[in-house]
Amino acid sequence: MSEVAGRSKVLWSIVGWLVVFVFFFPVLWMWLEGFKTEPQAASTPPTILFVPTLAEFQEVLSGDFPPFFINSAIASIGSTLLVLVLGLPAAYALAIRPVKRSRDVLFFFISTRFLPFAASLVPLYLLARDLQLLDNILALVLIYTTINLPLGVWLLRSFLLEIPHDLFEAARVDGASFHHEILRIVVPLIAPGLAATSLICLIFSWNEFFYAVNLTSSVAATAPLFLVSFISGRGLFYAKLAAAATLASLPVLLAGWIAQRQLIRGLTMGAVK
Amino acid sequence: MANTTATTAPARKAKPGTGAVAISGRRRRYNVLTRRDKILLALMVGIPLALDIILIWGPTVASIFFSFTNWDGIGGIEAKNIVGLKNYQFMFTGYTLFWPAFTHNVIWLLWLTFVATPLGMLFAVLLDRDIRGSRIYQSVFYLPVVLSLVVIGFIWELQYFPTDGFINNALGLVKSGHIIDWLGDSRINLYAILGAASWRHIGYIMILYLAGLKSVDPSLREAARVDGATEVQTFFNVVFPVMAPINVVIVVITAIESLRAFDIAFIINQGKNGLELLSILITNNSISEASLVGFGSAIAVVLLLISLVPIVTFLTRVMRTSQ
Repeated sequence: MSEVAGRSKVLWSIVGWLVVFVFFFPVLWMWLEGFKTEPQAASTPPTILFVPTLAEFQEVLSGDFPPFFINSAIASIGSTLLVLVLGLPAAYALAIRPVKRSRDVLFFFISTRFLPFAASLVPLYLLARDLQLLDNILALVLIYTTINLPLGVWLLRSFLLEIPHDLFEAARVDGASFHHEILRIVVPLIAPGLAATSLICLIFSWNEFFYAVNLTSSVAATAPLFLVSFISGRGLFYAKLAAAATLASLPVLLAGWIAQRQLIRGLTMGAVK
Repeated sequence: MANTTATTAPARKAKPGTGAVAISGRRRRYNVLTRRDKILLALMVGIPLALDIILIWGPTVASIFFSFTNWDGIGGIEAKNIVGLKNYQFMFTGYTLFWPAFTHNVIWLLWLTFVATPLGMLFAVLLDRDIRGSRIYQSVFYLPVVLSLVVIGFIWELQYFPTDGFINNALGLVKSGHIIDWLGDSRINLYAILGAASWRHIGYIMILYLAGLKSVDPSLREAARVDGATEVQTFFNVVFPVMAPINVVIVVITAIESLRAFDIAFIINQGKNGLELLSILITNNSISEASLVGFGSAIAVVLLLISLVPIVTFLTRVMRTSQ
């Protein structure tokens, strides 16, 4: 009996590892391509054994990639900070001091999160054009703030709801004012929540492509646009492109790794913890 | 701000005694607020709300209005620009790309709903059985979820390219000369990119569902086992019903993701030759030299109407459960 159970366990493990390897392989393959030379990367049949080189990484970093990377950093860090500054007070108001129609507001926020971006793009594009904000990183900062705010508010609210109410009551009895209450009590208590929310917003805005490709062209173009321009513009340089794609995903891999547990909460607007 | 502190704090401190004591906590807190507090609270909620209205809902509603015009986005809209349902008429009957794009979106939706999502759930259930190394499994499935769709598009191009891509070489098709043009053949390229999209979606659903499974009360399963239920029976009769709220979230996320599909198709070939999608038609018509703002908006309205089904479903379900 136990031998059969043991054997089936081994079988399951093998099947499991196989699935995992198949799943992981495409990413691994791209990483490997980045460490090859250009002829190795484009060879038929594919080069499996090779001496890794950092040449393509160097070329990407010394070439025209850094401005794109910096634009991505400005758009995602800027919008994330704005989400925290605007989202925390809103989440506080909706969680701790629910006013009339709080629920309606919360559901309004969630509705914007689910709208297809393409449905609002054309008027937004015209608006940006008339405000001279096309190909301006400010437009991306603003729009990323807006699309991440609902998520930020819901997430921060879910963290705030976990704080015992007595703490706020006590502060209020002591005569603490709003901004006192937020800065001295709320911020330290939900510091982990703030960190998680920032990481999630960073990941989403770093990866955003739809608005970036439609609202920017060269000056304000972000990292994903670099990859796309490379694919369509200059023929294919697999090794260089793989190196650039690897570099462009480093920040999100790092953020994702740190926020692994909280990301689930973020993806479900705080519904699943 | 220091003044605000001085004036509001004593007022709030003095009030609780006068408020109704018997009223529940939430109600009492609300009563305690001064007029100034209320204005401040309204601003705290109002500014983010205004941003979302101005930059998301406003433009969405404007799209509906534009869809009844032949406006090209230059100058003002005059009475002569209003063309009624003409855009819709042309879209449904004369525009050859609309129905293919619509069909592709529907296929995308059905594929993710009935293939990728169940697979993600299955992997989650298997992972939930305490397999050795499950942390590594989780990290691997989690990987495509944090990668951008642009990078995912490129990762799969490296797999799919006809002669130097990995798949054709691994299958020996390059050697034998029967090359499959995964991305260029318009009969199969949609399914090829659905493979890439599923790869991400399976991971996405897997980590969500796994988190849900971990939150199921273990005593429920224990009870089912004591009653002699098999593992499959336990899942379908006990675990699955308990997970109803997460099942709704997953279905809605799947629908929204399918309707938002844009990035991968755009990267592969800018959404042409078999990869047309509604979102791509919108940008191609309106944000291009053609500048067909009115017509592009009509396509946007169709996309919006389809999306409202899952949004409304989700909101009504969530509102009901949170009451």
